Amino acid sequence: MGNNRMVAAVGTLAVALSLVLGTVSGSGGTTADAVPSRADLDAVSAAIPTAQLPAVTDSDSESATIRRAGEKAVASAVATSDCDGCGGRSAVVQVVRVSHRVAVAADNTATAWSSCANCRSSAVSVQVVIADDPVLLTVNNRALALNVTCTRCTTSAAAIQLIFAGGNRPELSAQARSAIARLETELAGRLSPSGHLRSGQTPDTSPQSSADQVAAQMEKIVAAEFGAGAVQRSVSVQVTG
Amino acid sequence: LADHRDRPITERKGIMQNITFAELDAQAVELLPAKETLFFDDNWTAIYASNSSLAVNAATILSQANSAAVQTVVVSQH
Repeated sequence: MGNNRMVAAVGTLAVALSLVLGTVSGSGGTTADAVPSRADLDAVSAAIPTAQLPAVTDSDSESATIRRAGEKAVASAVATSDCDGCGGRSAVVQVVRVSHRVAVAADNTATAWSSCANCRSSAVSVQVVIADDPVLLTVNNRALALNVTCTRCTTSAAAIQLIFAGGNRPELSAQARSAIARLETELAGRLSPSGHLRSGQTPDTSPQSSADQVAAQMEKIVAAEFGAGAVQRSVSVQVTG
Repeated sequence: LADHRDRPITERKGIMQNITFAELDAQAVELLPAKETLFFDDNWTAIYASNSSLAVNAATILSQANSAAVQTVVVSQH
């Protein structure tokens, strides 16, 4: 039974990841394999609880500057729970500055996966990209929440990506960065409240509306520093349960 | 020589009128901006953005999967 469960979990995860990763690599074109790698352009957080350490919280906050063509910034939050009664919470905030007129890319992903009983996983990834005068900007934003062979699991993933291009904008102030980090922490808390759901119980707050509200607040904070421009907003939400 | 330069060209050549060498010397030449900048400000940015959210429940009981992807693009050109 255990082996079958593991095989099903791995198979489903592989299909889901191939869908997501395939979409990322297939869009744009500048997120090519030949992109030079720079460790300081990656902001990664991973929360993986185990039976020995059933509650894990991990977070990362990074700032990076892209100066060369073809470079890519990556923000990634991953939370996976595969032990009964476990909980994992992962959160990332990355602020990326593109200081030259070059073609660059930025990927933001939040992935949460649960395969257990009475467990929960949440991943929140926030990426802010400020590009003074880019030639080409390719940005991808992905959220994946996956429950596989789960009983009373709650899994949430939220990916928020804010892109500000053109206009020789100033650096984000410390207050703005702090406010964004605070909102991100608040969102992570809303997506993964303490305790477990009882049979038939649903979370108090709607995760998707929480993510949308937090994104709107972040947008307001950054836009207040930069001034208004043409705004295009894309929201993609999916809930199953 | 000075007297010669101050006389109108028409007196010597009979081709152009009312222009002296002094006036000709006073002419200045200035390059115009490139033709396209007279009509189009070469100021552009291309942005390709993709946004997706996926929540999956596979073989689950009393479980909930939530995913949200929010993407905001602000472009300012001057």
